[in-house]
Amino acid sequence: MARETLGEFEQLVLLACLRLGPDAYVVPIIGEIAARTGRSASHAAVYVALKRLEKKGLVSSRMGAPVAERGGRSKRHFEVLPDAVEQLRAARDALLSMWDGVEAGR
Amino acid sequence: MNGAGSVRLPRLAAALVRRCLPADRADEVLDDLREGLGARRNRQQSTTLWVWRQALAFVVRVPAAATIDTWRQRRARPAHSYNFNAPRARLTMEHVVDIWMQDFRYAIRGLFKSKGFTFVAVMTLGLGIGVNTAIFSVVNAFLFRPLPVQDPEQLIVIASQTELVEFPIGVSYPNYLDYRQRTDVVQDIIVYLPSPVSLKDQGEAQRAWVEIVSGNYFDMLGVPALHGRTFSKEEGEVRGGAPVIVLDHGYWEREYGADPSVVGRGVEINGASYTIIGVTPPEFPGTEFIIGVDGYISIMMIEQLRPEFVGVLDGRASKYLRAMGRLQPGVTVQQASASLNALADELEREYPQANRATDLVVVPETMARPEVSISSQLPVVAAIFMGLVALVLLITCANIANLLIARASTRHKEIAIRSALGAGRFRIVRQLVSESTVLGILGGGVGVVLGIWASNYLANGASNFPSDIPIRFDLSPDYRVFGFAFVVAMVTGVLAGGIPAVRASRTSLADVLKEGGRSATDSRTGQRLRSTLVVAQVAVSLVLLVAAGLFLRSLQNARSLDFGFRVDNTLMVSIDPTLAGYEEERGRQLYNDIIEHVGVLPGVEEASFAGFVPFGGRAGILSVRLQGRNATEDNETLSAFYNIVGTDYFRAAGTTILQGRGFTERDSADAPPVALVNESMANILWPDDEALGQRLSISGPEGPWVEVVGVTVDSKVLFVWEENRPMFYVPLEQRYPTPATLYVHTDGEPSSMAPAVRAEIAALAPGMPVYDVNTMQSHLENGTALGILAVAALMVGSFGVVGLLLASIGLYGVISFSVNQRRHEIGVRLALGAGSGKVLKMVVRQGMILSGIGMGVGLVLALLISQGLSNLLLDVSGTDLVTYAVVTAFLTVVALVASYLPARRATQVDPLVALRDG
Repeated sequence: MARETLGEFEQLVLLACLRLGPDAYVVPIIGEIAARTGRSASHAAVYVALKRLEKKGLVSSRMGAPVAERGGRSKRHFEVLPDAVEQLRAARDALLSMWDGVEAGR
Repeated sequence: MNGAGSVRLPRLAAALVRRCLPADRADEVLDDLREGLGARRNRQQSTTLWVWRQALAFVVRVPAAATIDTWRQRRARPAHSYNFNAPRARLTMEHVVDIWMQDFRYAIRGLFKSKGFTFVAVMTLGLGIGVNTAIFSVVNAFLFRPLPVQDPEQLIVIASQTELVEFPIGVSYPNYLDYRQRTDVVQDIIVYLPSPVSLKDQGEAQRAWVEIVSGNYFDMLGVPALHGRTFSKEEGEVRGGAPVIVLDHGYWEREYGADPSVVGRGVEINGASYTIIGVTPPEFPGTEFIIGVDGYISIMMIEQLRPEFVGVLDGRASKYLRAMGRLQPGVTVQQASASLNALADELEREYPQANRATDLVVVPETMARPEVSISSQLPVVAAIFMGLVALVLLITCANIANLLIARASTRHKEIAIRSALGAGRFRIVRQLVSESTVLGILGGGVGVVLGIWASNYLANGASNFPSDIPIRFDLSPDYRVFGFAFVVAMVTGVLAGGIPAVRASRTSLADVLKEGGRSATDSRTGQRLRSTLVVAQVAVSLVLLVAAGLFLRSLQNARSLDFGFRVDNTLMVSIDPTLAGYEEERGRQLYNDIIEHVGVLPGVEEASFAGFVPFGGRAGILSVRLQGRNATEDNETLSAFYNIVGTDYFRAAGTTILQGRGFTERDSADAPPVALVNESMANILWPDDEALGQRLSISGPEGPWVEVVGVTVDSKVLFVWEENRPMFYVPLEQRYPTPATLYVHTDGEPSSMAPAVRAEIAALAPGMPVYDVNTMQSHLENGTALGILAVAALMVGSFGVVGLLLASIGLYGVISFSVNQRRHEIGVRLALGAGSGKVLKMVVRQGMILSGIGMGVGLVLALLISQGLSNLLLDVSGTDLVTYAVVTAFLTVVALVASYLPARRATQVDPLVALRDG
């Protein structure tokens, strides 16, 4: 099976996770994407993307400690796995090599 | 920062989101949403719209992602992949099959999930398809299933149409030989005649039935013997030279335990020695459609076997034999008919006396069942019954459609999502139709089981028909029955699923979301469609019930009919002295002895013998000429039924003598011949004269002349619905009947006299087989007289009951559904002070309006359809007021009950609950 490339939104989610570190969860991910790209992602979109990435083995999730603000329930934290980092690099390299010379020639 | 714990999401939005997610993830996602909402509130951004957009995104994206992932996985697998958005041109057969398989898998999974719905739907369909399968297997047995012989499609039945009777009769042996030799349109022709015999191996003689057949019988049919052999050339040509019998497979199994060594063994048939030469193969049922014979004997033995048939092999006028031919390849039935009739004309010129006005009727073998004389009516009867069961199927379809509409309405969301994801309407319709097709196939399976069970029941009923003739009625299903059931199941599935599917496919995402959590079920068109279906169901079940009612009324009329003889307190016992080896003189003596002994038994009023029994399936017909009139003119001869009866017959049978006298001891063999005629015959022959003292001949233009000494009332002979027919009676002393039936008029319950009568006969004639011991009452109830009407009434009645059941379930379903939909409204009404009686009335009214319209439509349909039934009815007009009134009243009551139940539930609606949930 040919390895699937990452979708654009998936890249955004993964990068947001990387930026946020081990405490990444849905709300700050949305915030990060909004802050950096100006794009308002829906909870559902992020949820679906994370679930799919998790299934592909690109992120892992764990439940955090119970928090008072959530009435004693805990948040689900996401962590980017090494495979994802590799794929993100590959995607960036592909883009950059495509860009290469395009910008210069402009 | 505002904690997520204090932020509340709108309940509906939360519920929607929760439904889209796996249970273990829902809480955290909702917590995330609350946190996001809190943050927006803190930033003083708009919240309401945001919440709903988030919820909607879950509703759309989560199932969509799941679907897309499944597709991706599938695409990863080779061969099984299909891109639904690809241009149509790329569709290959493989893809189409693949898509259908997907649809069916999905449908099966969906049905499995709602087991209750599936069970009800499959059982309903099973009932409808089962009734159709049962009736079709009867029609199949009569009209379609070929004889299991070589090239059965080449077989034709040949019969003579003479001026003597209105229906076709058999052929004579000399004519048969000419048909065989002088035409080239047929390869060969056989003749055959079923006959009772007395068959004795060891121990008691048994009454058995054999087929007396021409020597080429088995060769022409292409049926080889299973054991031993069939007839040799000599055995088919040398008169009296073939004392051999080929046993039927069933008889061989029953009587000889399937022992192959019986070939070569000797048996005694009608007192003479015969040798068993062979056994037929198990699949060969014989050429009598409905009679199960026990063996086959060459026609060369007919004179030895049946003394009354002496001369039949030379009598060109003796048209008693049934004939079947095998067409030459490439010759059509019409060509054969034309050619054979040309030959019949030649034979008429050569033998003007014996073949006067004799045409030949040539029909394919399948169109000549059970017997060529009555087979022309069969397709009509078959069509009527198939039509009636088609109506049952129609009700079934409506019911399933109703169920599917209700089900589709609970699936609007799913359908909306599928269409939002780009599924075209056609694809959604196809998906829903495959679901109903799967239902149809499952229902077809149940239907086949029910149908086979029902047809076995019918076949058993037929085999137990009280008749001297052994009935063999094989309704076992073949590929035609299964094919029919399959096609019906598929058509039902598509028909029942099509309308709801097209309707459901119109669902739009926007509507679903607009209507929110309350199921978007009952857009008004849905309710209207379901109501229309219920109206149709009520209408059709009214038609079926009216048909059943008309048959019941016919049966009732038939019971109270004046048959022209007594029905109660009459016992009948048949014997056949000839089969026991009695010649005429001993036979007569035996008749007299029996009358003498039985007549004095306590409890017996009178006893007498008769040659024929009404509705016995056997009747004598003779041609009558009048003295003193020119007998060559056609209108001077009359075909009339006759009976040969003993001295006290008219009293024993309860037939009233209107004029003159009955037979007495003085009407002996040496005395001047006398006869009684019935009223109809007297009126036809002597419309202006006294019948008494007139003279007629039943033996040809030369006499002897018989004097009419009495006139009796008319009586029924063959069928209850026959017109009064001319009939005459001659005394037993002047004409010897065999077999004969003893009529015993009792002063009490007639069946209790049976043992005593049997004992008397056994004492007088040890070993004499006694058969058809029956009371007149049961002979009529179970036999051809009323039995056929009773079976018809029972069958149509059960169609009607099935239809009614389905229609009332349909009505109940629609009203319940509408009550559910109107819970809120009803709650408001109750809260505002409407009494429960008022609510009850409101709901029941709705049901009654629907069924009222249905009944109106049904009455009109029934009036139209009953005209087609009128041929099968007895003394009932198709517009019989009583039937229509009773059926309408009955349906009204059922409709009342079906709408009362949901109405009562409506009154129990708790206004508080209804308002809060609404």
